Amino acid sequence: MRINQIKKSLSNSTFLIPTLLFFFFAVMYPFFSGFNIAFTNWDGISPKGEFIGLNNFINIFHDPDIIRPIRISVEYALLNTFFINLVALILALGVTNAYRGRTIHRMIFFMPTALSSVLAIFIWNYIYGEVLPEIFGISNPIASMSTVIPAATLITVWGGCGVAMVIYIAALSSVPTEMYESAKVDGANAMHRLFKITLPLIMASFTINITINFTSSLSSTGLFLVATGGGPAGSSESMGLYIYNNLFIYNRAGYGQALAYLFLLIVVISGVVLSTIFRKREVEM
Amino acid sequence: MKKKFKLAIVLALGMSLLSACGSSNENPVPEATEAAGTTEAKTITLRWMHHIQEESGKAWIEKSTEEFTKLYPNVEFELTAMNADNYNTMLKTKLAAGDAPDIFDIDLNSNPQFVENGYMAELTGPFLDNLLVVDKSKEGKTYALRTELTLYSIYYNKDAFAKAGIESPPTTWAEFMEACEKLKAAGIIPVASGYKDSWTLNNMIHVAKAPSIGAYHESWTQDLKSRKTSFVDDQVGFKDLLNQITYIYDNSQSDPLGTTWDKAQDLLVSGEAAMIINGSWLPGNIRTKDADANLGTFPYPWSDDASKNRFIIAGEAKNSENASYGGGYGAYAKSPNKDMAVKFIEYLGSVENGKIMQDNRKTLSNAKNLPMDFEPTFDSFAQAQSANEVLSYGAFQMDFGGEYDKVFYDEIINYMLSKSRNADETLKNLDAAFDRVAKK
Amino acid sequence: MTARGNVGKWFMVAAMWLLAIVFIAPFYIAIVTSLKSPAESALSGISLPQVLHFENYVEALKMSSFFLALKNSLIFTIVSVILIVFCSSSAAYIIARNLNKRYYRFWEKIFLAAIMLPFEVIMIPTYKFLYEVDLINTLAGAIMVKVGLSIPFAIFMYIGFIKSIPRELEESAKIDGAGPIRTFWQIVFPLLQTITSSLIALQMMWTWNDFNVSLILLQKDAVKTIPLQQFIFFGQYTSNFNLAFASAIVSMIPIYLFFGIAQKYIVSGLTAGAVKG
Repeated sequence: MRINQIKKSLSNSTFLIPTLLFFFFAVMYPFFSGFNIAFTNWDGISPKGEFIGLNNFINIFHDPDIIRPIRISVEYALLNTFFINLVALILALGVTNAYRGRTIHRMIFFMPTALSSVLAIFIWNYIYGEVLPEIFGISNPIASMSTVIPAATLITVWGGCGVAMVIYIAALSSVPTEMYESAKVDGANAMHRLFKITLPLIMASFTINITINFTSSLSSTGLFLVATGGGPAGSSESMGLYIYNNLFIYNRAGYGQALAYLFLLIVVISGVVLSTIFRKREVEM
Repeated sequence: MKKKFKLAIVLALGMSLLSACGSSNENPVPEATEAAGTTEAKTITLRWMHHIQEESGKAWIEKSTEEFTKLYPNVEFELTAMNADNYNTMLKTKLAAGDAPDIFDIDLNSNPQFVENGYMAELTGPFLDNLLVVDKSKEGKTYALRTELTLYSIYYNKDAFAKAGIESPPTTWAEFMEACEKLKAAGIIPVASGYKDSWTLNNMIHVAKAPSIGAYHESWTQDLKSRKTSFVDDQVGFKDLLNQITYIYDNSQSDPLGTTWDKAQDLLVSGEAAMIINGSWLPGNIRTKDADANLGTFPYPWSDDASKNRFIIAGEAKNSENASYGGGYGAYAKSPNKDMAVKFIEYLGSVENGKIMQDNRKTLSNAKNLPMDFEPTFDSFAQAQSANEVLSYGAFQMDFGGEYDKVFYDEIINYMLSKSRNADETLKNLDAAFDRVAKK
Repeated sequence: MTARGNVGKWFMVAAMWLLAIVFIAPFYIAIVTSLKSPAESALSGISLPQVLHFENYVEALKMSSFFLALKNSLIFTIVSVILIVFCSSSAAYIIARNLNKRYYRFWEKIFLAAIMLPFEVIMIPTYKFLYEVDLINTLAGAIMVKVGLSIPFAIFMYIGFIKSIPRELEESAKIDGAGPIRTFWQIVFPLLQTITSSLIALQMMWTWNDFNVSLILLQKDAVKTIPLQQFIFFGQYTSNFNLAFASAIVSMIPIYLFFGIAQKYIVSGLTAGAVKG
């Protein structure tokens, strides 16, 4: 019996071994070796830094420059998550009706997803700088401090709602039509049907979409690095970009690495909180 | 479904075949042809990481590597092209891993740790005497080579000036403002400012700083960083500079912060705008847009005393205390091929390479005794040089570097955008920000 | 359908068309710009080109060593995706079937957290590590990193799906004497067809467009992939948008060809995974 159990555990672990190999190689080892950096005052250029214990982590709490990046990241994450899901839901609701052109529309709404983010940013920067001013006579929205975050959000909503839309389409199609029929018989109008039947029953898809959207938006760095450089005047410097700047521009790699770990904690906690909230509201069929 | 999947795989394979055909013709790495019979010399591969994207620059790289391998047939080059934005990041990452390229370029003033950690090979020898500007450390050592002479000045479209009835470029600040008014009256935008690409704002301020502050206060940059002096205690006329910067901002096309560098150049080429305030790589860029552009350049007229408004370039430190590492091309001191890398740097500083540089990139070479007729825009500068009327800002550091640069330019942008334009408040904010960064 | 219902539907369809136009507009801009000359573009950003400047495409292909990057992208993407599917399906299987054991629950949580790991945290250490083991600037090294980074999400998707597969099939296989490995690959894996196809489609897309890993690990020209080659092409000194867009469109073609074919699977797989949660 015992040998069988051991044999079973062994053969079970063979399932996990290839995965763990890659995972250790790409994630765990670099993750932990990065701690070395966070406990030093390494500048990112010299061969080594001096060990300074928890000083980097302590200094984070005395760093007034960290507040704005956090605010910007949260603002962007909220905006992005809200709009990706709102737009995706609207698109999904639209496209699940029968009308001519809906398959084409579904394809069109999904197309931006296949575009690399670098290209999407490039195209949209061109649109913001050359096309929109030409058509509407406005100034470049992504270069103005008051509109830079919404403008950047538009890019990622455009590029990201395709995936969310498809998930919502699936969830919507799993709602049995009988429920709508009996609701109509009971006198429920479209709004009622939407809020009392549809939305509660597709909660599971909300969990996935909102959790993943929010956590990945929080840590967004590439978008701001490529689209705005954090400008104008730092008005779009997200937390990720602030970390990046410390690591590579300000020559404060130790501090930057410590920031990165702390920020990771915030991201993971948000993810757990969000998925817990939404999981609780999922309705079992 | 199975059929479509097969199709996808076949397509993928088909494309791999196509690319296999294509790649055998691709040879992005120029290789030295080993002269038959050079069996004694071991092949040395020099790894050069750069961030040059324009065709003219790439032509310079190609010719430079070609010429050098003629001199040293056992040398091969391995070129890595990076995007300018990511260049420093990747360079530092590679250094941290011990994987530095043999040849790279870096601003050592912003990154003195490169020298302090012994990464930069020392550059010595008579070749330094061929250069107009040589950066020397306090100990008199040179660690980086400038291949180009940067002329920070105002570049203008001569036709646009003529159209507005401006006979000759302004020589004082009052004349500059007059010229702007004339241009506006003729329906021409005085200055094209492409500040969406934020480095152009930085350079505009360099142009204004060099003759007004750099020429007289060589250590201003370091003193501000070490907090020996402050912005509020303005001994250098920085407040006046602020006013000039905002005047230029107000006399640019609409939405300067939203206009790209490329668009700004378009405005200059078409004559919709008359001036661009930037550095001497501009004419080369403009030529790729319009080979016949009628451009000229004149010194930034910051003062109301015309004799103070001359062309100005870097030079030897006026006060040896202020000697700085400078920046430019350097060789990795810990490379096994260090000696050959240094030889290549020396070659880059030669008159021959200077000529290749000027002919291809249309920028001013740092090598002495080169003909100045390769680009008509620089005629006025050439004249000033022969008349010995070019000033020097010595070892004045243009960039603050690191986080100082960031808070500095952020505050300037805030100032330009603010409605109240309260210069005193900006000076206070700058000091507060610099204090904060200094503590970190 | 009441008259009111018809009007409502009409509005909705019109709204959908409007949205579709907005969504496709950027592609229109990209294509149109790529076929213009710089002078035309300077005049107007949205007009149709007077003359179709196909030479932009020829130039772009020449300048950006496209076919070499294409080859690298193909190898990088296809090998990575195969490995991701192999590893994550088997790992997810063993985790999903053993959630009663702490050891496997632990790994489930770790993988979930890993999905949210921002790349900057491990960027420098990864580079350093790969340099130390001589895998820098090799497709093999980059593939290993990409696979390791992609597995967590794939496992997440698989676990959800596997949970909904009844265990009876595996029980009967065991009774028939099949070992766990055979049970998985011959019985369970085929049942995962839908989710696997869409995972493949999604991962193909994401790996093809990968930027972070390629940026730091594949810099030598010989191993550059398409996104990186694109990025380097668009520096802050880009003075010819038309060329840049032509190059961008060329780099988009492979992925959209693939995408056109695989769209069905992406949709079906995402939906299946989503509903099971």
